Amino acid sequence: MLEGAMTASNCFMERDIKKPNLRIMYSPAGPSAVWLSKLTASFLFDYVLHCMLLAVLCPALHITLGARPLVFIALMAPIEFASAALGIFFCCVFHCEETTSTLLSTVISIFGFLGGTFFPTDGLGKTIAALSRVSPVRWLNDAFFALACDDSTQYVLPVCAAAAALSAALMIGCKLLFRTEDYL
Amino acid sequence: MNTFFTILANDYRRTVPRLAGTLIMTFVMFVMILLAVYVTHLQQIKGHIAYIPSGTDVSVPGHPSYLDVTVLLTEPPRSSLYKQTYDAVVRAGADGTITVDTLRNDAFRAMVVRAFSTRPGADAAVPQPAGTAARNTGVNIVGFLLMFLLMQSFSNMFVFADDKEQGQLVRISSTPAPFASYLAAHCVYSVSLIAPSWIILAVLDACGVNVGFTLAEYALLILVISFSGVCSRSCSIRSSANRITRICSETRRSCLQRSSPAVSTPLLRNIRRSTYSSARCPRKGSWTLHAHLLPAARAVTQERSCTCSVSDLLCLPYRVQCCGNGGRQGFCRTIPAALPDHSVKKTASTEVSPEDHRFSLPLML
Repeated sequence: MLEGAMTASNCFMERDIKKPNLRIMYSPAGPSAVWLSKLTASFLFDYVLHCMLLAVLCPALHITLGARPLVFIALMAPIEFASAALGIFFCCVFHCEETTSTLLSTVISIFGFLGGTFFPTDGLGKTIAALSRVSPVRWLNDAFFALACDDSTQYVLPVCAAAAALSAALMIGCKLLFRTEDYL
Repeated sequence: MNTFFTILANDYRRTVPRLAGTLIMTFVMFVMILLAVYVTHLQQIKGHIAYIPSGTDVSVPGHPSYLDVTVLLTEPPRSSLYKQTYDAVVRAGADGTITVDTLRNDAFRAMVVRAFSTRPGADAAVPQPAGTAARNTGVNIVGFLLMFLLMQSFSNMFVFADDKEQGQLVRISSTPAPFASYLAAHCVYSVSLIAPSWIILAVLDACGVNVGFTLAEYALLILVISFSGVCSRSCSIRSSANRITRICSETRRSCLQRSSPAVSTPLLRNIRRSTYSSARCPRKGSWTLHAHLLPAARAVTQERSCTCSVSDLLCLPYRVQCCGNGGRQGFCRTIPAALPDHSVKKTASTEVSPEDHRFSLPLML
């Protein structure tokens, strides 16, 4: 889901899309419409795609989403939105899709590595286990595993609140940092 | 084969500006291999066990040294097994029996049962499972390398991605050059840049370091992983090919529509077969044609000395203007439909005389 940040950055500042963006900016829609529409489009694309993946893979691989599958799917939404906002925000900061993609890809890979995406970090000693707590991937893993395996909703509200706060902060950042001159 | 080797050589030339990145990635893989070997020999713990005693006694029961046991008074969440926080949950019954809950295989379950069924303190009595240490080294090396191999094979296909983004792919596909050779050259190039990781393993093996699998097995594994990366990058080939086919057919259709029916067939045949002779100037007018049609245009102007090399594939589309009355006596000239960016920068002007660029082929590289 965090990889959605790169979808957003590609959708926002990819070389072929920059010029069409310029046309929108000089239309009566206003500059905010550009990044906001890209953010919404990226979010919807990622979210729908991931839901379709779940719809295909769950029956095919006999994966269960726990007793509350709708909560599981609903919990994905704020995270997808926050990831898309992160990608757009990085584009507003660096004004370059390639820099954004490279940076985000590295950061997300490190988070994934620390968060135990590739192999469990709990068995690598207390230091690595403590370090993995820094990674948001670890917290997201905890939330979704608790929901799917333990039917526990204890992480749902904190994750939603954190994602909403992050999304709001990033959108304010986009509003402040987005400049039409970057497209000239 | 000529196309294959030319494209391959061209790919290696394009690597030079990216040499630093390639070397860094190779170095990272070397470090990861060493790390995998080191961690395998360091790692003695075969499993993390959550032990739930029958009473309130929190003392750790006797267990073999290769198991890490944590005593819990309450049942850990089921998700801890999925997240591999614990490999097994052992519950002790009041009558001394134990139940083992694990997601791992039966061999691991049997090992845990044996370990906790023995009397306390009998560490040495329980033999370490016949774990194949050599295999563990191999598994770790492949596991550590997996992500980097995929990343490198993915990034090595920049040659294909750049060609596609810059529109070269369409031009190459609309030429007589075999598209399969073009793709094969890119694949061989991408896989060849991953070969250093296998060479590192071969050197370590020659130095007597236990690398787990045999070199042949590693070659197969690395090949499979790298091809996965290559295929993931090239997954849009089908759509590209469809697009190319569409563009080519549109170009041909455009030629047909603009040509008179009487003379369009030979021209179309020339387009299809890419032959360089017997083309006739269809009629007065102009056509936007791709570079591979340039020889046909030359044939029209009775200039048979042209040769079409692979470098010609990288030309921009040319506009062929026929000014004669048709037939071999007609007069044609070629005008670049557009100039590549770097040419524009070099000449510092977009005003180019058609005559100056007559039959010249500006290269994109």
